[in-house]
Amino acid sequence: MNKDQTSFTGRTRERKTKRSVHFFDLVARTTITIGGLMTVVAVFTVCIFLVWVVLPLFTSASASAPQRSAVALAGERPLFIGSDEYRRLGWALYPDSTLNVFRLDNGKTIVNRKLFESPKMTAAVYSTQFADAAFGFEDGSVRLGRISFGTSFIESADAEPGLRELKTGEVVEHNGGLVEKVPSGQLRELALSVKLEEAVPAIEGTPVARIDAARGSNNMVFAVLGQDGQLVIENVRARRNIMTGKTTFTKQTARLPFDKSTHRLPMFLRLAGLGDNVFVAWEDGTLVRYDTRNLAAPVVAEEMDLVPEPGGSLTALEFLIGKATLVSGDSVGNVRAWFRVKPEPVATLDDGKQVIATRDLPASVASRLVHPSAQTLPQHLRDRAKELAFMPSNDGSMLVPAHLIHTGKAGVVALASSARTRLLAASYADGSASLHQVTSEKHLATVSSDNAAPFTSIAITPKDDGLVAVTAASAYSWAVDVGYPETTTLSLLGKVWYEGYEKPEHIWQSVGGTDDFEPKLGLVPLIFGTLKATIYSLMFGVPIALLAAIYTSEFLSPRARGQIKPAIEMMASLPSVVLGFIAALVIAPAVEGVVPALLCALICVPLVFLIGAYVWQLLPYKIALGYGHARFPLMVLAFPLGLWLSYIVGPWVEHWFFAGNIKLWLNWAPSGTPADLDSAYHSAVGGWMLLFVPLSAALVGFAIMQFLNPMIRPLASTWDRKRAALMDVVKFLAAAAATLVLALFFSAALSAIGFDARGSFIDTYVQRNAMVVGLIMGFAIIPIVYTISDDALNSVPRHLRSASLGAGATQWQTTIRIIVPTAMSGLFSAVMIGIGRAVGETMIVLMAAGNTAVLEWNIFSGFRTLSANIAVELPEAVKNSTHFRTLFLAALVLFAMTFVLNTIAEMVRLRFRKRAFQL
Amino acid sequence: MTSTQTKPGAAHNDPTAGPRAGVAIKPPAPSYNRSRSRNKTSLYAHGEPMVWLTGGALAMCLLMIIGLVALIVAQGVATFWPGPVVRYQTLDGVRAGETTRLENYSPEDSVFERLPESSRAAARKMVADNGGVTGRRLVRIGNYEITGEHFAWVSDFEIAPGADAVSTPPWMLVVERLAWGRFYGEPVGVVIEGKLIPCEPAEAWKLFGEHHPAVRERWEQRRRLETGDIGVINHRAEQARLALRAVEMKYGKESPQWRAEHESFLKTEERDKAEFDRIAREIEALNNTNNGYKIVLRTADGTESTLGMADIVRAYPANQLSFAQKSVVYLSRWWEFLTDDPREANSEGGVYPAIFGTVVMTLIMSLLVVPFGVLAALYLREYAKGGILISAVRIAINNLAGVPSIVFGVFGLGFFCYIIGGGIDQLFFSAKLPSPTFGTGGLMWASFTLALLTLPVVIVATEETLAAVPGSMREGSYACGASKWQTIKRIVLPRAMPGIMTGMILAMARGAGEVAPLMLVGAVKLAPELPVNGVFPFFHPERSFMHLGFHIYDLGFQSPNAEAAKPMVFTTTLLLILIIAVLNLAAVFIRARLRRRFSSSQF
Repeated sequence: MNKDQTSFTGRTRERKTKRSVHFFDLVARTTITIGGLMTVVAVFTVCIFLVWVVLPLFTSASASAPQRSAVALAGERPLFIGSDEYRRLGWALYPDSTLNVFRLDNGKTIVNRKLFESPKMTAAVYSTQFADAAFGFEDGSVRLGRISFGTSFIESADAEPGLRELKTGEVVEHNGGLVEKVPSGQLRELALSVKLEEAVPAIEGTPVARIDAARGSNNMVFAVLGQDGQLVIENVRARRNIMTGKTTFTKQTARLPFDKSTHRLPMFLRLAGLGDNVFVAWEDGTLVRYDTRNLAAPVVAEEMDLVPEPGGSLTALEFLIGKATLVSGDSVGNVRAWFRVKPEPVATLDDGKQVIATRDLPASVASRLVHPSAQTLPQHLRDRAKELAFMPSNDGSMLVPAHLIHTGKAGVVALASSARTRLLAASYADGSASLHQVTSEKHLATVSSDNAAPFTSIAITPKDDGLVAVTAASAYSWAVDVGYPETTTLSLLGKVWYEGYEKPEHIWQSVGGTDDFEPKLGLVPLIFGTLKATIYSLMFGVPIALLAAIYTSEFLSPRARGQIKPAIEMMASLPSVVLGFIAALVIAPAVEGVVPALLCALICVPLVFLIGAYVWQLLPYKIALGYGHARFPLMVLAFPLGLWLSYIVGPWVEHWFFAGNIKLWLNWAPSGTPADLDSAYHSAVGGWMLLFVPLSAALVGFAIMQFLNPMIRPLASTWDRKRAALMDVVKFLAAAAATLVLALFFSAALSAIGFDARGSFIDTYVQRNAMVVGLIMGFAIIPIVYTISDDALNSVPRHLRSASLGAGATQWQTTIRIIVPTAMSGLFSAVMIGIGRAVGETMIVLMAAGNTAVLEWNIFSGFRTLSANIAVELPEAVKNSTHFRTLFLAALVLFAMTFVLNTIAEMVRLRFRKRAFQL
Repeated sequence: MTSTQTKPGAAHNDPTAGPRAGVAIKPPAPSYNRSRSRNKTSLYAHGEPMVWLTGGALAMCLLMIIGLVALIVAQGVATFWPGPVVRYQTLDGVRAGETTRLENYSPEDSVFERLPESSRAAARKMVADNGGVTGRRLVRIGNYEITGEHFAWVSDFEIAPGADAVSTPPWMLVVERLAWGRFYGEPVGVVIEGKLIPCEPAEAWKLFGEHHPAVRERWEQRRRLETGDIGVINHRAEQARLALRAVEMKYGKESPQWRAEHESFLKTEERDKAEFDRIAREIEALNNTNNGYKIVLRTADGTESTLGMADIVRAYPANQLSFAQKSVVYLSRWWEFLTDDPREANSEGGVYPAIFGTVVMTLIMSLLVVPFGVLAALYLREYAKGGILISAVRIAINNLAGVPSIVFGVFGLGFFCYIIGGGIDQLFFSAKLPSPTFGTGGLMWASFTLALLTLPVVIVATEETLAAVPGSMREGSYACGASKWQTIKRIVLPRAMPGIMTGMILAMARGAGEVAPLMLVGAVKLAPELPVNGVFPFFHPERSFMHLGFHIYDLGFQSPNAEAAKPMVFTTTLLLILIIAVLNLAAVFIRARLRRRFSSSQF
């Protein structure tokens, strides 16, 4: 020491931290901060990315500034116009059969020729979907044709000398078409091709005034209206002889009833689909629909008014893709989409007409329907005549105005439909034009001409990426980004009236067999399916998990708890694909044969436990107390006993309540005849019992707790244990009987009034159903709910328990009055997390739920959840299509649902933890 | 976790409490009751019925778990045990095969209409006497090319009267083949080197046993040539084609560079063709030799059929096997199951590619998830300043653990496969477009997706253990002059290691069992090649892969021969559950071990 002091030199010793330490500290800090933050961000990217993919669904379409070009047009109104898929060329066909092909960029005419010199063309029709045209002539003959742009690619090297020097993007006229050098280096040649088939004589001795045609796989159907009023539909079947190469035509002709003396010549003639309906419409809006499915006997199906507004007149009539939806435009400015629906007929009148009645139609439709006088109606419908709207129809179907695209602008001048989707363009007298999606009624874009000159003709480009329109002097074209026109918030979540459906409905049906299939992307059936799965599995899983957690934490010995809890926790890591396969391949077929037994088990199993409890009470106190730990093994034995009991009782229940066969009972539907009442399946008592037994049990239990127990308690304190236990047994048996009687009474009463449980929460049985999913998914969420609840119960401070027991409360009283209320928020968060699990579970529902997107609560039917739907459809969805993005939306909905549930659970849990520490 | 929960509880429990331990969580109550001669507490206060309901719920949970596991184990273990081949003489013919299961059913009247006229009445009576219910058995009759069915139901009343109607013919062979399912028949001759030798079953069986291994050896050799050598040639040819395409895209066709590349491409092609022809000749020779070996089998109804020995995977006379021989068949089936490729639309053969895919994917996933998870946890616990934001982040991460796995799958498909993978394809694999390389589901993207899915698990587990490291140790370290990083590296991390390991293993267990996201990002029912093989660069993370969980889904739901696939589902399930159980147990074990190691050094 001393030496040290003497050697003190006045300098403090400086210990410097090594540079490397500082360096590594800095490196570590930077790495961890960046890495950690990146990881946290990455996790949140999931949500942001989903939103990013989904957002375009809700953005609106945009139209570019018009590309306007003065065209040397004939000045009169063209019959049809069109453009090529690259929006370089346009064409127009005039009434004198002149075909004009012009450049859209500068309006220069490239081709101008007359298609037919002699005989003169008197009628023509063009369908954008197949680029099919049909022409009628003054000699009564018709010709089919095809007007379309042909595209061919030429390697630069092989091209003619003049074309080789083109720069990329440069366009030149060549051989009646356009040649353009595309970025890949090739030359793209565009030219309009018109292919005409041989003329077929249609009507004799009169010019064709109106024509429409449809082309089948090996036939074509014409509807032809002659100048003299002949209305003819012809089915021409072409048969080509392979040996001679000659084509022979077989023709089937039907003359439709049409009286020209009462009508002027109609303005429009339209042929639906493959020729199963013919529509004839006049300027005043009158439309006559012929049912021509049977060419041997065509009938007038109905007659109606397309323009209900007073003073309005019909100005345009077009088909949408698929030729089933008719779009009408009128002078008032309304555009309506009409299609046929086929409601259930309610009666057939004396004259053979079927009466269609419906209440579900919107008022606009219902007002159009007639109320037949009471006398013409069958007896059983007379009373309901006031509430129903009726209309007679000769073929059982009716045309309804499903969509009204009301613009409130000037009258409609022209309509055009898209060749690939249900887009519709309409031009108006004030020089504007608008683009709509018909099903979703979404307005996509509005464009207008420079000088308010109306567009006399309009067309949507083949790729749905632009509009082409002509006024009397100029041609216009616009590039339009339509975005995702099928989806609006309303179409995803609301009822949508799809083509051919009786009324607006929630439907999910994303893929179909045909090209003109319209995807139906309503999320409601999927959200419903998710809720159904969640609710049924919670009904099974949550009570079991919570009760089991209470027993584990309050009544089980710590040693047993240490063994049982991990066993149940281990279940949480069982892959759900395993549970799903067990559910679908083992449980579902097994359950199918023992449905009544399974329903009985819902009652029998708890009953056996209760019986066990009452028997246990009868034991002498010393034994009951001394062997208290033996209760659990007994309970374990009681469960199979309960199952066995329900297996025995099941067939009897089926015999008494379900007419001996529950599946037939579930499938039975009243036929509306008096014989129904005699049917063994008529009684709905069994179905209601399912609902009322648990309800009555709750009611009786409540009554006992509230009224009987307070009365008995003073007496019971004087009884010895044995007597009290015996009285308890009596009370229990009486309660059980009361439950049964009460349930029977309610069920019989409801059944007698005529309410049937079938059609609500029970209905037709399918093998993969909500009950099976409820069982297995309930089983899957048990471990997580159990673990969290058990932890919550356990974290109730020990002194609360000791205080309660010390104050003389029994263990059960402590549990129910102290522990459970204190841990309530913890239990709540356990349930919330369980719901979160059930909502997102995929494999179990995918395998065991049947995946039918139906909207019914029936526990015996399947469903389709958001998650299973994603798993099934996303691998096949076209990248960035509406379907693809809608599936991402489904994922986002799932994400949001679980995130909200978990956040609530987490916040409640944190609050609970804080409170528990304060106690 | 559980073992520690037991310990303090057990210590609390008074050992003298003895048999009353079950009730006596509250020690004072029984002694209080015992001290009185009469019990004054009302019976109702004990709530016995409610206690039984809660206990019953727990009993139900336990029994359901035990039942489920027992079902899987029983079915999975029993599947490969060879059963007898039973010959049923029915009213309208003969059926022979292995019985797969029995059940009772109520036949409809139309069932009897199909029986021969003479025996309808007897059958009706037999069923009616039995209360309208009859037993039936599902027999795997095999011989698909003859019968057109793999399975047939044989009802009790269909079996002809007579004692010998149900028999087990001693020489009925069970033949497992490469295609067409199983074959059942008695050997009545063999073809050796192209010569037919008709002989007795025993003799035929002996001859078959002599030649079959050699034939199979040649078949194996052929398969090696086909998948190995020809695979390499094909790969080379594809590489050459892609190189040519890349040059073409860069310099244009007919450019000098292209011509040079084209020249070398043609050379490679020519050389490969010569080699290909050589291998093809080799294969042809092996095939020709093998074609000379056949076995003639007579089915139960007398039809004779000749099967090539090369197509026979395994054959055994089921009805005369001793226990030891059965065990050999049983084990050889397990061996095949674990090491071989699947065949017959996955319903036969093995699941080796699926095991491989599962393991490789899980490993890559853990390599990704652990570093990032630990980094994030270290940041949140050690570096981030506390505050509302950090606790909000923590809640959000906790919640992400509860977000459905399918949502991560959707994200993986949209982000990893289409955006990142699509970008990689544009940059590096443009020659191969439009067929995607990384731009579609694959091993790498599946691992990434699952890593993201399990990230919250690792973060939460690591954070908890970091929080559990006592602050005093950190302070001690700082007091000794250690820097923050030194403290973390030397003090905190070693102590948190058990928790991190546990988090990792739990994440692996979750990842291995997850199927829904994999359906979107790369699991397929049959992957042509493993993601790791002998062709450069040896590891192919862009390839799609097979996965045990997806295999279960595919077998159970998309198999054309669902009944035959059913046993395989159970064995695959058993395997998957075993893997997950082993991972979980490993977590428990490692945790306990590391805890012991570190608890001794605690101060």
